[in-house]
Amino acid sequence: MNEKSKPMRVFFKKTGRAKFISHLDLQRTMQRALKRAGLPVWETEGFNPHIYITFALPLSLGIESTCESFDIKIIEDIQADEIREKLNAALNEDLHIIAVAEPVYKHTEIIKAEYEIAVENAEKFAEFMSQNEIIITKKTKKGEAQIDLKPLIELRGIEGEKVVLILPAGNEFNVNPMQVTSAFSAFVGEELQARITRTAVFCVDGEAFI
Amino acid sequence: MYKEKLEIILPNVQKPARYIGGEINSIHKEKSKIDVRFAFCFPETYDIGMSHLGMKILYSLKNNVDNYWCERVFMHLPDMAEEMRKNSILLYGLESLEPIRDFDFIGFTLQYELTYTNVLAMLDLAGLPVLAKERTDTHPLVIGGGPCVCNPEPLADFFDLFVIGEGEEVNLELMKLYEKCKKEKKSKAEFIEKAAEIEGIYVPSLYETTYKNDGRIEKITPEKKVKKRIIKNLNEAFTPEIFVVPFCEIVHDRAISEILRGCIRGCRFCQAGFIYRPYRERSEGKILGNIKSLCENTGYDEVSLSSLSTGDYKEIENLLKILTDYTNKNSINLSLPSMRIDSFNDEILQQVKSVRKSGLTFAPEAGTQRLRDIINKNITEDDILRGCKIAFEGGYTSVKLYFMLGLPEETDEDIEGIKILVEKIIELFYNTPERNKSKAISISVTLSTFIPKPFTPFEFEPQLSREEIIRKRKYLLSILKNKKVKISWSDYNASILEAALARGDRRLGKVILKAWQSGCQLDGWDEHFNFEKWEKAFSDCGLDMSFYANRKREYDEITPWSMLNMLVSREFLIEENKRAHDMKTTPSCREKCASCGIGGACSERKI
Repeated sequence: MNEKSKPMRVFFKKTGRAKFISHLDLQRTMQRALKRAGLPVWETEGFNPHIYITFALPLSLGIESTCESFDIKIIEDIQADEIREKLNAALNEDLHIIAVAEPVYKHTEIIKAEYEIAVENAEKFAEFMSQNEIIITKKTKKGEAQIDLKPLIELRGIEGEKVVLILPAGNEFNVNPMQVTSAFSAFVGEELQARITRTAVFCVDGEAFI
Repeated sequence: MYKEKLEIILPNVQKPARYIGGEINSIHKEKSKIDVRFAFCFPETYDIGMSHLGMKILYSLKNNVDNYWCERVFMHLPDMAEEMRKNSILLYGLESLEPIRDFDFIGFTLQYELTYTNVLAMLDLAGLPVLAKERTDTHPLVIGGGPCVCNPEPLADFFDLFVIGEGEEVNLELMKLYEKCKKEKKSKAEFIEKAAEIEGIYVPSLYETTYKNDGRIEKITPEKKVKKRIIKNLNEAFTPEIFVVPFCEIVHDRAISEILRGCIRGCRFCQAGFIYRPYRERSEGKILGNIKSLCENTGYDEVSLSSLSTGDYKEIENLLKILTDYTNKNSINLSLPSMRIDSFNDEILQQVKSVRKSGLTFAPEAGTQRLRDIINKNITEDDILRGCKIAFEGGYTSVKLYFMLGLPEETDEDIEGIKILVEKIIELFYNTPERNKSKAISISVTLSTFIPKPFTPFEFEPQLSREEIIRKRKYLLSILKNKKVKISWSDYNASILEAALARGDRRLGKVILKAWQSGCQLDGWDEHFNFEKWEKAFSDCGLDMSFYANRKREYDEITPWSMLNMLVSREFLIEENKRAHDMKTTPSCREKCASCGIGGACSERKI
């Protein structure tokens, strides 16, 4: 790798129709945007060189986010603002770059994420949370396991049609908010439409991931 | 606009990104400023349709006119179609997300006969009657173009008009006329009548076909022929400098630049080789400029050159040098599909190899020199072995070979010829000291069934029967037993249907309608293709698939497509057919003009 290369973290929103872009497709989309933007980014060497890019926390298909990020390596001096502007010019409003900065935390330090869930019957969510346990079947590397969601959900509030909660996130242990909404659907007894947005990612020390 | 409705249904379908639109570089316009709206429909799925260069050309061309808006539409898979029906969503354009029923034009590109039922499925999902005569002035015009319209007759019932030949100029002429007629509040019938006067526009409702008792055509009236359109100078033809960049993976996910159009070779089975004549090249400077703009505008790191035979480009080595200077500097992979084995040399291999190494594919088409001469595939066994040797010396260890079964005058000796050729290639590999010794050679042999097509010298030929094709294939499998060789083949059912539709007449409209009504769609997909339903549709209409597929035509038989003038003359096709049976080859246009009928439009013609 180039000695002068400097890591940069790019924060972006993935909203609207972009929520239907899968993680792998998003990676390719961003690599092409970096290329279109003509940014001096480091490319992997070897047989099939490609722009180095690594995402903090994959987002499930169908979920929106205001706090996504990926890391790149810059090989020439360039201001963070210039990266942001050039990238935004190469993307559309559904994939909007919010900020670019040098990374503070490592990806492995991510432990939790906050989600806003707009869902019908949100007023019943408190009742849902007052159950003794919320057992769901979760797919793990070893197969399927029964887990109790209740102690894993940190409810931050219910405002009108919106539920805000915090769930374990990261490579080690991750709870998909869709598992919560489907358990909630089962509790209410009907198929509920939920619009989920990831709004924050937190690290082990309790600070926001930056 | 269906944006909100789509957000609700898309989580329930496979690969939703192909249905959302809004991709980078897609064109969005303000509706109030638009006079003509065009839905460009590709009757296959997004990942196939989005790979197609023709669509990219016409999409950019139309959108370059301020008051025209062209949107893209693809075939939906059954899961999406079902969700759309449940939620009252009509087929929509990927740019505006509005139903195409409200557009001015619905244009289908017809690339492959087994997409015909998809056309009906798409019209139906758009909320339109599939039959042209049932659509009124309130419905959009339904038009068709692409290689299959060199015999548009099986689709005559469903279309208002067809665009014959290259679309760059005539599409805009047609839209301009429409714009004028729309302003003057002319009826659809009045517009169509005027459109028929444009060169290259065929209006099927103005023609009538009568049949003899034996099923052959008696007469097509009027006798007036529709002449195909061509772009005279490829350097001046419209070239898109920007592609829509899909979010999800598509079949050919890369920049594509057209380097030449037409073909000088005259392989007698190849429809593209005749219907895309004359041969024209684009200049090196234009190609380089185009590739630069495309890569910069899309961020693609791969570009492929489009042509029927890349090696025939006059200054190919110079072109590749210029291009690789740019692509290597920018870590862009250059791929060269459509290379004839005889134009393959060390220098070309080096250029291709300098970025990435993929497998090599060659198409000898037939196993013996005798049969290769009959089909006018003017390559020799020496060419094939020389090409393979260069490849092996360059480190390649896998070769793909394409052959056809059921070619005219084919005998079992030609089948044995395939085995002998494959074994020679394997032997050559082990006799090449510079080969990659860490790997064994692997050869993949793909057998397709020969399908006679209109406007080729073999349009008169019968397709070989199922029994004979199966017997020949089994024979090859019994004599070519080698662990290094993998043999695969195409399904005969799909081939005979393709053959029937390719040379079918107007009566097949009823068959296509019936097949679609009984559930046929996505016929090009093994998992969706239902041959029994097609057989039933033919018999319900009192027609016989083999009458169209397996019957030899006499030279004086009136063909369903005889109202079209594709510039290549019938006399030439007959002469070429005779030469085939006499085992005579015809040199390429560059060596000697064969007087095919193109005349002055041909850049190879020396006067």
